[in-house]
Amino acid sequence: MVQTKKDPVLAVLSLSGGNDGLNCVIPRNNGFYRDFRPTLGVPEDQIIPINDEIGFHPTMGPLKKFWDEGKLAIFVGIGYPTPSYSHFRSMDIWHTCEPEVIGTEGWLGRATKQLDPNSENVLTAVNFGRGLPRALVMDGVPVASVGNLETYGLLTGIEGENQRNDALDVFGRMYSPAIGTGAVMDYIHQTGTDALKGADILSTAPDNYTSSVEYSPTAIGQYMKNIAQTHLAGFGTRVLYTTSPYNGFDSHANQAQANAGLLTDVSNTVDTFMTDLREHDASDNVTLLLFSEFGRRVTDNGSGTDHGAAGVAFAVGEHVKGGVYGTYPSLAPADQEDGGNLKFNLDFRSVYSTILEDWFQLDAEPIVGGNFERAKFLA
Amino acid sequence: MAEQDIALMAHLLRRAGFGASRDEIEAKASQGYDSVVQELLNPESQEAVEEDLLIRYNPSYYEAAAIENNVQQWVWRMINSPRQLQEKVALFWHMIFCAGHSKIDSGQEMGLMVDIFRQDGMGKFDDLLLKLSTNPGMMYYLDNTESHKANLNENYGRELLELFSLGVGMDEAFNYSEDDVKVCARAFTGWNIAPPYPPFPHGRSPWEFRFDPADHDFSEKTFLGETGNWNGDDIIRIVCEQPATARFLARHLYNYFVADEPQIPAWRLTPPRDQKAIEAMEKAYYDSDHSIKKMLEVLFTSDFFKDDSVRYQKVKNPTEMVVSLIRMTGEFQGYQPGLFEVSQEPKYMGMDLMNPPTVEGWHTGREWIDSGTLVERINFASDMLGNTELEGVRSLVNRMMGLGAKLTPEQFVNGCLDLTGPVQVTPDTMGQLIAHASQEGDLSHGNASEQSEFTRRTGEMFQMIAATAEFQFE
Amino acid sequence: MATHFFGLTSRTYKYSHAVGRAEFAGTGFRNPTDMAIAADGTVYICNRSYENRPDGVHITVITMDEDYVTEFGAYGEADGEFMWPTSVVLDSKGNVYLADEWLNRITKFTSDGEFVSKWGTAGSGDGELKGPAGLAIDSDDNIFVVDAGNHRVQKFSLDGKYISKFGSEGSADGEFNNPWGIALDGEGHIYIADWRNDRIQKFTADGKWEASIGSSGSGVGQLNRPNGLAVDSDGDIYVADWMNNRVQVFAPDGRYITEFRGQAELSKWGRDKLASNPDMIRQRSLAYANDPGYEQGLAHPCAVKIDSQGRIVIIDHTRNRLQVYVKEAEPALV
Repeated sequence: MVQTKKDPVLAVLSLSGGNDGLNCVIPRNNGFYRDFRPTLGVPEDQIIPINDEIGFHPTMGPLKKFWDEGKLAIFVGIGYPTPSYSHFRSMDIWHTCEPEVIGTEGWLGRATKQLDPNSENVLTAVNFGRGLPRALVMDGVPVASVGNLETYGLLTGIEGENQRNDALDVFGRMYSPAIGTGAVMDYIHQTGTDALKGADILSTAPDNYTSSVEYSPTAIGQYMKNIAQTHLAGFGTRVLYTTSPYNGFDSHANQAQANAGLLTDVSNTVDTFMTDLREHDASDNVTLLLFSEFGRRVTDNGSGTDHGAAGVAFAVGEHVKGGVYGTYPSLAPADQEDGGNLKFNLDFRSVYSTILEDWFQLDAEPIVGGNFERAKFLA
Repeated sequence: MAEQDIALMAHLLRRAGFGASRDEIEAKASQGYDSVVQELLNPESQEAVEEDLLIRYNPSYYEAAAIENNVQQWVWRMINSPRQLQEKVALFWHMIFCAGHSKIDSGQEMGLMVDIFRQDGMGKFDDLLLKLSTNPGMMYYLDNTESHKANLNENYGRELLELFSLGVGMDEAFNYSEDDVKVCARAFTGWNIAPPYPPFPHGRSPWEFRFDPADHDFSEKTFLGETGNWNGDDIIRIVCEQPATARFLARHLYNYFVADEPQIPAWRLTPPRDQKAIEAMEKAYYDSDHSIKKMLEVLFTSDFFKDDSVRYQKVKNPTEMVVSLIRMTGEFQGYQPGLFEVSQEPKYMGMDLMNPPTVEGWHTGREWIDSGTLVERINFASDMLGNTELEGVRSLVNRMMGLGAKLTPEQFVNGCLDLTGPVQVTPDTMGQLIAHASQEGDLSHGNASEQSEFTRRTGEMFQMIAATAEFQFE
Repeated sequence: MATHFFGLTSRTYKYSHAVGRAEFAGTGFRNPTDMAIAADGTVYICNRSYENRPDGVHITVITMDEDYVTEFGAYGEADGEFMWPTSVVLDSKGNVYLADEWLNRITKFTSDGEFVSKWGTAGSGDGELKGPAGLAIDSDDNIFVVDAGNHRVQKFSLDGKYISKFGSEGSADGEFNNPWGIALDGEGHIYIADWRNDRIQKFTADGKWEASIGSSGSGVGQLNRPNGLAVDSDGDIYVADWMNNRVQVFAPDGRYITEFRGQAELSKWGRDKLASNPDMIRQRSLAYANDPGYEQGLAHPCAVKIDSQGRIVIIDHTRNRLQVYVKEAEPALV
């Protein structure tokens, strides 16, 4: 169990599209890596060494800082049995912890339900981006989904501050509890009132935020900034979630160039985010998780890589015990899974279980649907 | 033209289609209700989508692989197809015969499945079920591809009975036994898919149904009391003869086209909201040899459908919300870029088209709405309706000006409600809207500055109307 | 033994090879609509992709031997960007011209892909455009633009000065219904794929109607929305018969010679792709055994060109590749 000064908070950055683990945390001395990555192999002298075996992609210097501080957990060989190569299905599996059947509830929806059983705070979980990822879906758990924190709210199309405030007043009155309009109408009125309340609270976050750091202007940078702003505003939010631009990591072609840009963005943004929280003395109770729905094929296709299985994930935070968790999968042809894939040895549900048990102090088993040995990366 | 004719026609076009512009509502109202019902029921009497032009300007729609491309194409058809009921019926079946991209992982298969609903959705129910049961996407989604003579998988057998035809039960009794489920599954063994091409290097091939006699259980079976060497098509025939199937279809049609019923799992124990309406549609089913079109004809021409009490009694599903606003404002007619973003809006409101959460589909009615989706619904609706630069909205503003040289706040609010629906609101809501309008007094449009003020206030009132609780219904 | 000859027997055609695979960038294409082939064998392919994958919209530059050279252009409205590319053509100096049927403009790039200029105004007056489709440049460096939405062909100087026009909406001789592709022969005749009239029309260099080929249907010599076309040095005419999934070949006098339905084998890039996905090699082998024709066949071919070696190059749109045929001077075994 981890002791934090304030209630523990989880931030999640989902890397959509299938991040190529092999070119992110690189088995730098492995001859097979050179054999199978004739086009995309990163020259050894450019790799940033982590230990004797592995190293970071050259663009990931900012993340290496946290490794040096002992605050970065690297999960290698992470995945689940019988991998799906579909973005949708595999992401659903990571979201619902249901590799066998189609699940409807998300693991963080369930966790939010435990953290705030009576939905007392409409902002216990907040998503940044359009539409709710399945990870946060759970009947009766309200989750705000914020496309842009700076402009979030109702009737955002009305120009002029006074006009909009007037309109919102009318809205508030129209949605105030009515008598005798029926159960469905009552419910909608209550929901509208809740939505207005949530939006009112959230809209104060950017106003009260100042910082010396500057986030990158990319979607990843801006959403992580929104996460920091919401956290710093002290609304009692426990789960903060965002997703990188849809399928951006789906590097079938021209991977060398595209991924260098993405990894630069992710590494810089993590650095900016942690610096921002530290500057506000607000990093102690935050763990940041980064994951992707799958890794990619061992062999490059002459220009990129295609959908694969086991990949890499990361956790960063003041209470994270730096280290490599899981075993780097063998690249030897005989050890590759059907399809030319790395075989997983660390179930993602072990990482979730650790977060749920050691961080949120919840019973992980009903949330992830089983007992998974914890990867004890939090202290 | 009588106001009630317009209101009734607007009701019909919202339910039997995805709404319409005010001009179209009025034109159809003059044409006459019964004539419009016949047009809707006989899509072949209406112009078809010009497939060659559609593909010329959107070449990726042909054998479209990506799911987004299939969703976008479907939304385009909902907006543009002159055969509105066909698209509305396709959505009806998609919400019952649920299969999703998250498992199927082929946008093309989802597109082909929906095309079955489009082409055969108003025909004989037996034919539709056979098309469904030989649809490769569905066979895979419900694991019939994993069901073998020697190793039975009951999934399709069960869902065919529970979710696609009989329903669990009615009048408090059960409609089938566990043995019937197993027999049903046995009858569909060997209904499988020929090996398709992988996605690389040139894209997946469309999946093809293939019957494998060697994997089919040819032994004698007793299903719902009838014994024989049944194959899947026999099962479908027997299923379609059951009173439970007529009941199941009638309740689904009522729930989708007339008024929200309780959620489906409650149907065994909860009687229909309008028993007489259900019986009338059941009768149409028997009298017409299982024609969905005939059931719909009874529905749309009946008093229970036209009745004032069922208007605005259904929570709009997200697709209806998005498409009806586009049609009302006249956007995305024909071929132009920009539809992708709009076609994703239903997803943001909780309805990821072609990817329902499970085989049981979406929870409908009030369950469409939570604090997150309500914000999306309200903002999309008010951004569309309040945008006075859009041609369709502009024409509504002009109509408002046509109401008189000077409008009182009451006249103004009533006019705006009429043109955006007509929307029916509670006295409370009406009071709030009028109070809001009264703050800025009467409206006139005699000179340019008054006109611009009139336009601004009308756009704003449209936004307020789009934000009402009442606007969440259709 | 008697040897029977029927029809035009003086030509031999042979499938040569396939180029490309489906990819949004780099070594492949996504919904390619047209191509231009330089004398040195450099191929410029314009990719339309689709709206949620704007990264697939660009011009891919490759060689006929399937070596990737570069790509340029992007989705958008700024200079050097395009939204709905329909056609690409080269002038005598190797500059690249691209037609965009949504933005109603022609953009000029250097052969290296540097933006040079753009022209085009939406409208229906002389020199205005409504959905420009095919492009062709004659030996005097005039550019012909198939102005599809205005059902006519317009002739411009390379910098966009209007010169002349011919055609109007209709189905009579010399009239058009949403025409698409254009080709010029060695003598300056103009051939237009009169798309919605399902025919090819031949004109003199100054736009006088001479002949029509084809009618609606899927039979021999019939067409279903023909789009791209080319004329070889013998005057034979190759028509991408889009919705019939074939290329038809006509003699200069309009008589039908033969058709290509596609015989593609795996391309070099296609093999690379499969090599890194062994599970798909298995899947493909079962699918191929079940139905080889699916993989081999043309699917919505939309452009056909003749390269400097006289090879016939077809854009196999839906399969995101090129299929190449050769015309042998001597009888050759296929």
